[in-house]
Amino acid sequence: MSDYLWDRSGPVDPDVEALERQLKPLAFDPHTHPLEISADSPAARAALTTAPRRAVRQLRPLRIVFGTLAAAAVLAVGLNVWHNWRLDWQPNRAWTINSGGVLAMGAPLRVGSSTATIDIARLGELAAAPGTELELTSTTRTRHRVAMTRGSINVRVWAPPGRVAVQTPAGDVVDLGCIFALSVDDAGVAHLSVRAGWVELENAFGSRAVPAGASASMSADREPQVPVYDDAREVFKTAVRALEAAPGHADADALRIVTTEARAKDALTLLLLADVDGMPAPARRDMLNALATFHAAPSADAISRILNGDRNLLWTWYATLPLPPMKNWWANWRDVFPRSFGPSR
Amino acid sequence: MTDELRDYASRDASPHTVAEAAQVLAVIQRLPDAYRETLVLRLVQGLTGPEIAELTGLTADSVRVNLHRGFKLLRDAMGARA
Repeated sequence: MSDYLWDRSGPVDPDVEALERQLKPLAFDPHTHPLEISADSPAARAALTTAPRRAVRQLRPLRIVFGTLAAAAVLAVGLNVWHNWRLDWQPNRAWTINSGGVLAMGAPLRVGSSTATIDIARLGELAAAPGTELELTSTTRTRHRVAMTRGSINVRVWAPPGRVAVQTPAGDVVDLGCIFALSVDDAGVAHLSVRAGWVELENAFGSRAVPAGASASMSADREPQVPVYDDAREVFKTAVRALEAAPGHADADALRIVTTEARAKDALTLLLLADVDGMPAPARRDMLNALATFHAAPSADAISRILNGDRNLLWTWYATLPLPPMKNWWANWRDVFPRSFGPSR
Repeated sequence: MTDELRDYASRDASPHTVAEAAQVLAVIQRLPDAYRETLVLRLVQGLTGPEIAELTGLTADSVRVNLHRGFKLLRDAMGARA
């Protein structure tokens, strides 16, 4: 027998190590599940007086460990079946409208006088405000697309990124495992506000990933807006929008406000704003310098290299920002349960 | 159900990871008692052989034998399952 299997000494046995890694999620954690054994209970008193203390100490944790593991195994197998069932869907099958009826493929729906709540396959739900116009354009085992030409919806989805998207006149709004509010105005501009997870705005000019707590809009004739956190000061929001709407103009007041009002939390906004097409180099430098006061640049010469066209370095910097990870959609597992489309978290 | 599973499993584990672990655990549970308990304590709980001996009251030699034979059975069973 390898020493590693016996006491973890010696060279790591790859077979043992692989099993340890696989089983690690089921390890019993006494910190989250303290053993609540009352020393005053009759059973405990009897045990302590009739059996060696050591034996009692040994057997009870063992029984609890096995009981816990058995329960976890049953639950996990059940969860796996349920999880696969949730993600699966019969192609072209209509979505259910909870108040009655269905949203069928290719059949436009205009929501009447009260909000319509619609199941997104089995992945979540969509609450559409009165007057909202929707059409189911694609629904398959792994891909669901609904077109929205006007109105407002709240969406809650718990699924791997990209499974669900809303197609608007301005571009696609792609769910990355999240909760969000989306409206499309009469001009066809999409306005997004993310409550949980991430959402991607995507059109012919580019794409933007918007994190929880931030908002951005998208029109058909330009790149989607940079995300701005909803709790930023209004002057900051206004200045950001002014700069990205007319980058070549480089409004000096707006630039001053952006660089002085930015918080550490606004690093994403600063970085993306500095990357907007047409933004003059001096303005970009000011924004990146402001960013560097909150989050150190990747190297001493990073800003000058970025200004000279090294975009990879910009994305290296992006990767160091303290943003929630995009790939752990499953961490938002609470989104599987119906709940109000409340404030950001 | 998810709530309960999250209570048992690591908070960092995805549903897939937990389900995969549960499948291995199901194979372990089909092994004879002596091997099963020793393997769970070693592979799931991460105890060493001497710690298992201390906890269960078995001799170190017994634990060593259980680990050796149990692990061989588990590996065979996992191979057959694959």
